[in-house]
Amino acid sequence: MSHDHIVMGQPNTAQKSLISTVVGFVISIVLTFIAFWLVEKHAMRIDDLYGLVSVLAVIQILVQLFFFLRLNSGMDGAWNIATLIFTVIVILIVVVGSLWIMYNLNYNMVH
Amino acid sequence: MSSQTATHQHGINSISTFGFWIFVLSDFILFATLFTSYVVLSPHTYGSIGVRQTAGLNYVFVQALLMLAACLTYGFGIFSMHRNQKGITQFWLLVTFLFGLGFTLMQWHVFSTLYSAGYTWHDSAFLSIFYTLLAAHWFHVIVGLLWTAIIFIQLFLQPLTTTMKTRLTCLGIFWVFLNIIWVVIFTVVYLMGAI
Repeated sequence: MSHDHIVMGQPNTAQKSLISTVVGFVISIVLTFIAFWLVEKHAMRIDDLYGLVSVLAVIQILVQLFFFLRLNSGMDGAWNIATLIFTVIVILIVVVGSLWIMYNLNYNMVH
Repeated sequence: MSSQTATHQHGINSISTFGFWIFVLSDFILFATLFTSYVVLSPHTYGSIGVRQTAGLNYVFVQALLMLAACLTYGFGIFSMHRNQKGITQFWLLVTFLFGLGFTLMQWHVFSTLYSAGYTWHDSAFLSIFYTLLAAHWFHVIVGLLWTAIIFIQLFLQPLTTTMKTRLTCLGIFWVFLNIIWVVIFTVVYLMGAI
């Protein structure tokens, strides 16, 4: 395969990464524009707007991780994904746990 | 660990890039704690300004475009690196540097305008965490700029060796990291603040 012939293989993988970078860039621009446009126009109910803007941000993060960094490619693909999932779990515990505690404290102080 | 597993098929040390990826993940956790603090503290403005008075949405949108453009041109640089075109790689590093510099100056303008108007981090819990979060990202961008400049100069002194390609790949991961943090900042701070 291409891995044995470095001279042949390099332009091929380079081309793939170039195409995925350009595609990721275009998708990111579109997602960013939609998010700012929705907020600027107050296009829907406030609760829906919060939800949709968050979803757009999560999609853009995934696009950048997989189109710019191409995490799933190469020999370390599985390890990259495994460490990413572990980090996401740690972040969720820290963020959700802290916010839960702080809002409960706030509630107990008021009531 | 044999040398075959350590050296990637593109002439890049994949153990080093994986190690740098682990560092970037730990930096994500650092920013997660700052974002949590922001969400908890941002309603407490104590009569001082809120997030709507810090920077307009159009201004933040331009900053987002600059960060994305930097990632795109860095991707062009990585493409040239894979084809062993040193001069073109340096050209794209320079373009990335200029986009990053534009972002940095715009962010400095936000800080200096607020500060000279008397809205410092002493004013309120919101302003404390606003300066902390934004400056933490800003500082990371400045480190990215210095790193880009250093690699640009190093490429005058040596060819595209495995070491240089590994450094370029790590810096690419770092630019995407900076971009992702900015996506979360414009969503959580500016867009949700403007809703």
